[in-house]
Amino acid sequence: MPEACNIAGEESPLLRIKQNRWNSGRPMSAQIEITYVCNLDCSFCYNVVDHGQREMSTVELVDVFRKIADAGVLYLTLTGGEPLARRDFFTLGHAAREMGFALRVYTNAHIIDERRADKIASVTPLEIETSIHGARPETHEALTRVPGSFDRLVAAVRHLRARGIKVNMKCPITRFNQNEVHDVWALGESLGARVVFDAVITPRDDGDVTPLALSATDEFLERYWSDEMAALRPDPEIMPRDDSQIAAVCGTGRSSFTLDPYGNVFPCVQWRRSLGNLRDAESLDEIWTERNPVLSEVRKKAVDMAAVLNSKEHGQFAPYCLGVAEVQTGDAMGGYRQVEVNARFRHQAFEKKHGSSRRSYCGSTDWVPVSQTA
Amino acid sequence: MSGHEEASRPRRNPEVAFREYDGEAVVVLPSGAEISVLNPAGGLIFRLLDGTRTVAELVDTVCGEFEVSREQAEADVRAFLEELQDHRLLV
Repeated sequence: MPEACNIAGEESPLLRIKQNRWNSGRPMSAQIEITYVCNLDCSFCYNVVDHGQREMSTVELVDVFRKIADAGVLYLTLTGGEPLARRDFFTLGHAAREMGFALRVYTNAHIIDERRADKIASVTPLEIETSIHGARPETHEALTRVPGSFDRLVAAVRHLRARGIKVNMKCPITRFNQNEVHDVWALGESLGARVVFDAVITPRDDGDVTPLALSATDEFLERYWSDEMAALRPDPEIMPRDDSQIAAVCGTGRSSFTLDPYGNVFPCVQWRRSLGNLRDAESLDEIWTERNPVLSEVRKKAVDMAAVLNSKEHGQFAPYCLGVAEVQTGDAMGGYRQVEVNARFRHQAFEKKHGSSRRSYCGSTDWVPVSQTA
Repeated sequence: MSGHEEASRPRRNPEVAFREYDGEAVVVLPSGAEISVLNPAGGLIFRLLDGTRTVAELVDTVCGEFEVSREQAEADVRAFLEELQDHRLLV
């Protein structure tokens, strides 16, 4: 009979449900880029505006929310561009909450003053995610290219935290801020926000690799993956990839998906292969089906890539992204420099802590031809 | 029994996110700190807590959906509502 089961431990019903959804390729999370309009000018922004397409209206977006809710998605992220740049943002936020979504909002927080913080609190988001690019105004604004954006970000986080709203500050590590990571972490702590570093800079969605010039240096990345900086990493413990359930390199086309402002559905935020248009479809099931050749191919490549990586020296430690590989090199399975560098340092750090991850070598004398054993 | 009389119409906290999966319901409090999974009977009741149904009607629905005596269903529904109240899942 009715009984609430609190979640704890690996055998929890929540993990079982998540595993079942993963195994059957039914997503529990979605991200919608509700607009590409933005009030900052970040030099590495991956969005590519298509002036030939019309962004979805309020009514269309609410309709899309309904289709996504009907498909069983629980966690919904509204992002952009800058989502708060839409005048109907709070209408959309309340509509999403009324449909039972656990809501995240990914915003640059530039226009969050006391009044907007109150309005955000009224939407009761699970959390707000924002971006920080340095511990000092000059570092942060070198990338956002908008004077005053650092102080406005800090003030906005204070407003949100004062209302009890959980805030994550994402920090893509670049060669400009790599020497400030400890200060960024300390700033986050002082604000009551969690800092989430990302060691990989990605190209733009159209394949422009200019942002890669911002990547952190190899010397820094070696330190980042070492024990010295473990406490700063989202997952402090480095472990080889777990292939115990489905041997896929990631959850692309399986655990979540992304929509652009025009209604196009992508298998994840990074891999911009359109699966179909949800604005036009009757339901997500029309698009999210094994009969969809693009979805099938994406899922197959995620599995095939895991096998490829397992055959490579540092492969089990590679934070591999098929989407980045495809947009950067034209071949989703062809590898790319950032992943090779990070995999090498991750593997190195793992072995330093745990010893070799390779099977023990028995020596050539253990190899005995079959004919001699008969 | 206190709180949830037969004629009362309990309503789930609109700040709670939830979704049903194969009969079970995943419930997320706005803080994200507490996530619970409700069994099929709990998921059914939770979905119906929109403030329009009386406790008696909830018991009727449970009796219609599950092999259970009315006495047992009533006791369980009331206990469940108390538990939801304790977890701030009702308004």
